[in-house]
Amino acid sequence: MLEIKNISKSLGGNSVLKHCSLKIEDGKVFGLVGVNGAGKSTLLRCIAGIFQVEEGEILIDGEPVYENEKIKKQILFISDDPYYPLNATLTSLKKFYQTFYDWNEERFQEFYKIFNLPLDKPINNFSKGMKRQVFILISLAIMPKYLILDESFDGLDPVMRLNFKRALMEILADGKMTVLISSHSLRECEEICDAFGILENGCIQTSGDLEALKNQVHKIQLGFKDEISKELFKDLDLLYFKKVSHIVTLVVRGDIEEIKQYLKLLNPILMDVLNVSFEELFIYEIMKKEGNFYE
Amino acid sequence: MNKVYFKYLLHTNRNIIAVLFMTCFLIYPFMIFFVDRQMFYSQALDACIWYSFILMILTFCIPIYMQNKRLKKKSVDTFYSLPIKKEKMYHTEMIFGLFLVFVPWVFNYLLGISQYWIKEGSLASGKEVLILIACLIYGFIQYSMNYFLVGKCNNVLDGVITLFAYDFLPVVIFVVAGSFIDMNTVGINAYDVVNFANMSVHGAMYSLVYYFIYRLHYSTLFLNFPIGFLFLLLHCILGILAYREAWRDYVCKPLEEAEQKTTSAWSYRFLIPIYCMLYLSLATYNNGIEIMTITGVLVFLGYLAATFVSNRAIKISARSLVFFASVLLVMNIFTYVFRENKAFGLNEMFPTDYAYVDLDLYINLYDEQKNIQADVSLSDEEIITSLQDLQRVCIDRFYEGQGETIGSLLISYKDSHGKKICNYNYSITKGDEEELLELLKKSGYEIEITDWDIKVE
Repeated sequence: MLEIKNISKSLGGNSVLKHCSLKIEDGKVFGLVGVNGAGKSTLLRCIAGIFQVEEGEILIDGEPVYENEKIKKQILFISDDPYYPLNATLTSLKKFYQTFYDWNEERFQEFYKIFNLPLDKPINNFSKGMKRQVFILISLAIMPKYLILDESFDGLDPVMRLNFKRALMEILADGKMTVLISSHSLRECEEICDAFGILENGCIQTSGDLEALKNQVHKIQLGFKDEISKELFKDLDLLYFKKVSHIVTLVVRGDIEEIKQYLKLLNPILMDVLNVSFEELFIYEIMKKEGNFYE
Repeated sequence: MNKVYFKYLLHTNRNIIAVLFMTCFLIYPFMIFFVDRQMFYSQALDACIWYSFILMILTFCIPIYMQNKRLKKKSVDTFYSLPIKKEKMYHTEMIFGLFLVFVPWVFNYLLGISQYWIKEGSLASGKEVLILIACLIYGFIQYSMNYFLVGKCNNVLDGVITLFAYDFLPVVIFVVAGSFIDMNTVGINAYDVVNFANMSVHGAMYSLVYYFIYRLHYSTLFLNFPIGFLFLLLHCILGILAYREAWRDYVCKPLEEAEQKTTSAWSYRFLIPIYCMLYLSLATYNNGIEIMTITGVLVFLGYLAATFVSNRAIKISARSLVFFASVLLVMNIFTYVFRENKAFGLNEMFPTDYAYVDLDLYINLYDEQKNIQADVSLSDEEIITSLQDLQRVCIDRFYEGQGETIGSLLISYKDSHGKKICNYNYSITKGDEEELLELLKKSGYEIEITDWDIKVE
């Protein structure tokens, strides 16, 4: 299990992570989301043992990650713009990662057929998407216990994204690998991730099981005969409120049955419960934190 | 050290190793092969000394190459997420760097000197082994120092600039201090005071090996120069400290600083003020307002350029302007105090362990249309005391700015073997000639006045 305990980290005098805590169960696919500059990459680099935290600790199976060879062997970090030496080829990069990690050649060959990348051509000449495929292929061949992907989906074409997801699902079926993904594409995260964390103001504001959260948050559309005051909804845990004439749209957190009962007392002529996507959830959470959830 | 990582470095750098072997081969053993047999002994040793400069270049370039990945964000993410402790990574990279510096160089050095052995059955001078030892020691010291300095920087450009600035600092100190003394003292030879060899050796940079070898080359016995061993000891300590500090820095330096502006006190924060101070010592009031203005403006432009480069922004803060103005003021105050105190007695540090004094006098008396030319020796204590009084008069006159120059006087203090201890060179003003002629008469020289000359015999 990965435990982040009350960590703080500053970059260039700015406090990026402030008393941030998080727990990630083994075998999960964890989606880390946050607005630009929230500190997602910094948090991932701290987890990978690249940056040393100023306060708190990061533990994997109870052991600190920083400067711990044994633990770091179980982690593979793929940054948003991964490094490769000048004139490096897939073969030379494979050699590099083989030097430091346990390499499964069989799995490499299996996924290599899917990705179909040139082995001996300089990676420098590859497109952005192809470069990402190279590192995804490497991560699949290594299959570390903890795979950290910093916006690694970005730049992949839909077919390759699907291939990667399938490959990841296949590996994840064993339950031996934990994946941490930070991405701006919340739709992608929603499809792959089973847990999530929203990073805001330097700490994890919301985290947990994605399905559980989706069951906790509901988008409801209501129609009323007469114009209705928003004051009537003040007892609900509102994330979003929008009123257009006699139609009200709410995003509300809580038990759906209790919410329905509460709303029925307001005598709506129409009440629809709609699905909430992860992207919407993220937007509503952020909007509420910023204090502008009423339109 | 991590053997797996070392093997990886060896494998990935095989082309560079091959290029280094080839370059060293072409520069030394290959050239030696074509040395003319008659010139063999002298040229072979010179080539051996000059080949050491290749080592110096390597100790400059390899630390930058080896630390390149620490100075780039992308590579930091990859390399420092690897399951290797930073300490092991440091030792592996340091040792691999030393391998790149020394192995191709030493191999070709041995190949080169073995040619003497094969052709002549002995080494060309016997100093080759000492030169090799000196190069290994100083090469390691210089490599450690450069590695430490590059490690203090946050990006490659700053690393290169910092190394260049440190390597040229001893030379700049030498030139500037020499010029300052030259402008603000009289009689003494500035470059006797500011000895280039000592400055460079103290500077501990690019000319280190050169001067070490220089001593070897021009001395019959290495042991005649114990001072060389003192410097060697001092630099060994510096080298070990640099290795240790580079290690500490490698482990402790936050990696998020990669590709950021360099803020270390070892880089721009030290170098810009020191260079500024040195050059502003030449922009002082005693040179006249024009020279002072031109020098001041040029130094200010250089200061602005250095500030822009270090800040990566074309903007100047009020603090920087105040700093520059303060340094200019301080250097002028220092010059004023230096001159008011007549160089704190530097002009009057006459030697005591001389055997005799040589005078080389040239005076042109325009009014009488006569020249006085004399090349004489004085050994009488009393006469020499009088001469020193005259020297003091010349010194006072220099600082007071009085008198019309009519000639020059070169005074050389020599030991019993006729070897020069030190030289003094003065401008002679009207009225001094009579005192000088009187002095020469007292020491037994005859003064003969002809239509054209006043001869001293």
